[in-house]
Amino acid sequence: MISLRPNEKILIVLHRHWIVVVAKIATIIFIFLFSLIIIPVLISMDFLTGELVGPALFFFVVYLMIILLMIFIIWINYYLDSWIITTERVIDIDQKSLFYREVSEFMLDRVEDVTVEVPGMLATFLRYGNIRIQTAGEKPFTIRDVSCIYDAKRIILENTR
Amino acid sequence: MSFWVALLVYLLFMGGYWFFVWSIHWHAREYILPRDPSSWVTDIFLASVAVLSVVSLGLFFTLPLMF
Repeated sequence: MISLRPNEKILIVLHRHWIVVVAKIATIIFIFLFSLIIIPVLISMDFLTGELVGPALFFFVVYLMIILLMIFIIWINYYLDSWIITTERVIDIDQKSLFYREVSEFMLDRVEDVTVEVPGMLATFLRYGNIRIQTAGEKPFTIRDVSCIYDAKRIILENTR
Repeated sequence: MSFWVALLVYLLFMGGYWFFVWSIHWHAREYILPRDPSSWVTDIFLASVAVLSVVSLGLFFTLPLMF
């Protein structure tokens, strides 16, 4: 959990745009649906009859459980990968995998320049993009594929002293 | 396959599976900010996984295994 300093308030929490996670989840759902083709094949070959229906159902449920777990691991990695802009700093939480998390931050008073990029047609239609923040004496800091980019830019600039 | 071997394999699978389920739940409880509107997603996930686990347990005992 992020601990805030006295008088520090969260202004906005940025997540990657939903299109980033939908593409990954759709791949898994497609593999799942594609593998269901085997069921009519087994029925047509008279494999799924009598006492084999129970075991087939059991393995189908176990398979469904594994697919569900994979989807939610992707979702939690996506959702916990976020940027928190407070009245004093920007906190970058990089959830690389379920057990690999990296948290970095910089103070808003070090911000020199904020650039917004909308890279490509999809980003234009779905209103997401990148925010590049130049801080004093450091490499530019980039927030990738987030929605509400203009709101985030405005909030950062308003709170930069 | 012997019933007891199948039961052992099934319990090992469920142990590993629920380890990851509780890991997701722990991450959600620990890191999702209070009053976050998306916390219901993990609730749905936990409910679905619990239902499927009970169903799979029920189906396991219908498997034609020898004692």
